[in-house]
Amino acid sequence: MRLYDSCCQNDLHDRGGYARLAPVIRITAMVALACLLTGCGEQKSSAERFAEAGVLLLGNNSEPQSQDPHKATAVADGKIICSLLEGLVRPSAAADGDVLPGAATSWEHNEQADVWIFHLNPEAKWSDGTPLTAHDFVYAYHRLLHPQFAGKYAEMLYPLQNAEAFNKGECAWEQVGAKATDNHTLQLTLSGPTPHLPRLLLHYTWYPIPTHKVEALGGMLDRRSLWTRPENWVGNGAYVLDGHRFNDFLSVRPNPLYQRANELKNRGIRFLPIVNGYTETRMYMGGKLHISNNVPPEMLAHAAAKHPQDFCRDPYYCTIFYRLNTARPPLNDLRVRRALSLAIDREALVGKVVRGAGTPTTTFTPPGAGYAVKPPAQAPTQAQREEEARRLLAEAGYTNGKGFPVLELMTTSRDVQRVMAETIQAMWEKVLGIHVDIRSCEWTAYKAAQQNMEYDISSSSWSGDYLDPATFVELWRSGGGNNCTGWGSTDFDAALAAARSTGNASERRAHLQRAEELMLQSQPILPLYHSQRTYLRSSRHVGGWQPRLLDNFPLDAVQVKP
Amino acid sequence: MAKSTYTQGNSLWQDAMQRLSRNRAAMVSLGFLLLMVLACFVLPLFPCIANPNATDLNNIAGPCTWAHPFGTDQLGRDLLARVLYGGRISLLVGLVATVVALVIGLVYGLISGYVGGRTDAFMMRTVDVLFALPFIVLVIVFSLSIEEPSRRLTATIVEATGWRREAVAPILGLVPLFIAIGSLGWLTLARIVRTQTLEIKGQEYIMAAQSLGLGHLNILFRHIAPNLLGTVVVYTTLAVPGIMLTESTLSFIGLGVKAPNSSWGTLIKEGADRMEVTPELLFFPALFFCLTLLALNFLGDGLRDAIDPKSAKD
Repeated sequence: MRLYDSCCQNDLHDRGGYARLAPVIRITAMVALACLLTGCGEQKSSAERFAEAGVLLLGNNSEPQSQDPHKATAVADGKIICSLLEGLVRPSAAADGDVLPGAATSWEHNEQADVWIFHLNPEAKWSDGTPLTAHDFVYAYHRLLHPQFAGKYAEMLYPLQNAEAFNKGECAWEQVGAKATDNHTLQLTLSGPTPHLPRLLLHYTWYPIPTHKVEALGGMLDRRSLWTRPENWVGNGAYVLDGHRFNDFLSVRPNPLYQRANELKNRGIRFLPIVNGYTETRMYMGGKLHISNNVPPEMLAHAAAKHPQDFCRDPYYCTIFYRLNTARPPLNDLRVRRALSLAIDREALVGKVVRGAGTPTTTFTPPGAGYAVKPPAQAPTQAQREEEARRLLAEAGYTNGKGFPVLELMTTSRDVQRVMAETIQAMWEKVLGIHVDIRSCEWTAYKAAQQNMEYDISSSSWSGDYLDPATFVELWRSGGGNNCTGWGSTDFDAALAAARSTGNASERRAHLQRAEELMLQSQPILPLYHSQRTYLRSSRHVGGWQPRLLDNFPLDAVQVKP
Repeated sequence: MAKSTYTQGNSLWQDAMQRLSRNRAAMVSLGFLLLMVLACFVLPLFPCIANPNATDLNNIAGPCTWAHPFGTDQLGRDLLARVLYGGRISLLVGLVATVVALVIGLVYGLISGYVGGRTDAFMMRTVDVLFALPFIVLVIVFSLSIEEPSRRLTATIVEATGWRREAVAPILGLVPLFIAIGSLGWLTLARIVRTQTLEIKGQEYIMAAQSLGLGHLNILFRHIAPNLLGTVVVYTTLAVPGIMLTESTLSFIGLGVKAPNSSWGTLIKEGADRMEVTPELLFFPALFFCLTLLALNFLGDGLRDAIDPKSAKD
């Protein structure tokens, strides 16, 4: 290196020397290249280097939108937030759906399970040493529910008494059922019996935020507050935010003031946003990841053959579906929506395109927790369904697709979604004679277009926030933050309200099921399949990992082995 | 008097063509390009080439057979048909966008060089400013902003003419791309043309034309422009590959052609994603694309040597 430098300096002084020095430069370059090429073989892969440092390299789908639990809605954000903040309870590493004490050491509830009292650990501290109090929780709930804050996930807190009314600006905050009776006691009053509350509390919308920090940096209602920047970050979770490089990585390091800091199984996590599953799988195979997020369908066989020890195929509480913008003609016509649904051959889609990484479905809530909506006893054949689809479309005034406007099918830039979209595009073209354009958007643009309802058909997926069918059914509440279809029905909302007000588990399920059936009858969405999670996990470097229906295995319990 | 030994003098162009025809690489490239154009534009008219968008989920990533000479892609579509139709779009974008760039660059450079003075300084500083902006980013912004108007244009044309939308849309959908690439790709050409114009402006025949009282437009297009042609032709053949690459870059990041239609860029992207599993999906489009670019470069090289022998390196 030194040699090369001095050559260049000589060159500046003595122009005639260039020709003489050229071979030197060439040789230096060749040696450097040779070092680079041979060095690759001997040098450790980043998976090995990070494993030695005890840092987990985790493929995390897309670039995080926000680390603010009140602004984030994507799964990728949730994983990061759950490592940075801790709720009243935390997920158990032992079994799906089990909860362990988190910020609260114990809790009790009354007989109807609609008043819950949580006792906080008086020793608990934020990462800057400020004590964590029950007021931080109340402050967080106040912020998320505040009508002026417009949190997309506010409805997660609707089980709280009067939360919905406050969120819609119909009552004062004092009437909402979240009170700090003293610094270390939190009392939650719910609108109805909620025996499954602890499972809800696992979701990050129920987590506290550092009141002192948020107030110091713009206040409660400042959506642009910079409190989540790494230099400002204060949290109460197992990790604190370490660094964030856009579209490169987000890293977290252990929080020394975390209550169970000594139980931590690794020395940090690096979340890598890699949207393209092919790229990610290739990176995994090149030793750049410990756990990948997704192996695309066409790579399944290849990945399973190349890394049989590492390949995982887990059940997942997730449904892939298409949202329809029911506010726009002709999708405001139920017959058109039904025709679109009937014309899709889901068996072929899942069998050939998704390559069996899922189960075809015409209903929404996946099996695994709660109920599964039963399909009709005598399922019609695909040919009959297509016949019916053509009939419905003709009835709506578009015989053989004549005069049907060109709709736009919006997908993310994810390849799986694009291939799926092209398949369905061809199916509609063949069966109904209609043409749709495919618009593939980058993730943030896709999210924004969906939430502003600037789309016709949107390729979507929903994975459960907690292990209960309500997490799927509640999505379609009229005007819900993640509804985004413009569909709403008072009958549906009434069924949801009925489900929320009963303490009887089986009765509650029946109400939810009825609500889902009502929704499916009006078809604001086209359910496609319940997906599985297919990913790669290094059996050499990663220990203690277990599959989770919600993909929420606590990351602090993941061992990283050199 | 004896019989006059009169030989017909060769014109500049005849000389150039002779030199070109002696350049074997350039001639082979020219032949190959003609063949490619025929294959992409004429061959798909025959029924032996399958519908490039007809999916067959029972024959995904199928092998090479008589029915599918290149096999089928990830949705069971005939790869040969897709490569040919993709070539149509790639070649079309390459040609049309180059023509757009050519027209703008030629006129701009001519005016700037011929008028000179402050106008020249102003026009060239404008080019400098545009040069300083990142090309790809500009193209992306530009193509996004004219997407909506072009969609409306497609709808209007379909309504007015009654043509089948499926036939029109793939080509009309490219209009934003043509305009975006073409209207930003003229900068280099404008500079080259300007320099050449400055040189030619000082020649005696221009002075003669001026002293004879010829109008400016006449001088520009009768005397200066034809003398620029050599440079321009050379530049054009060398610019087409660059523009085709830009198109494939844009398609690669999802801004070019819309699915299910394909260009070589999108086909290569889809193939590159699956290269471990089905390498042939990458191989065939990449082969066609590389050979075409290579041929264009050889032809451009040959043309430069032929038209402007002074600039030839050896």
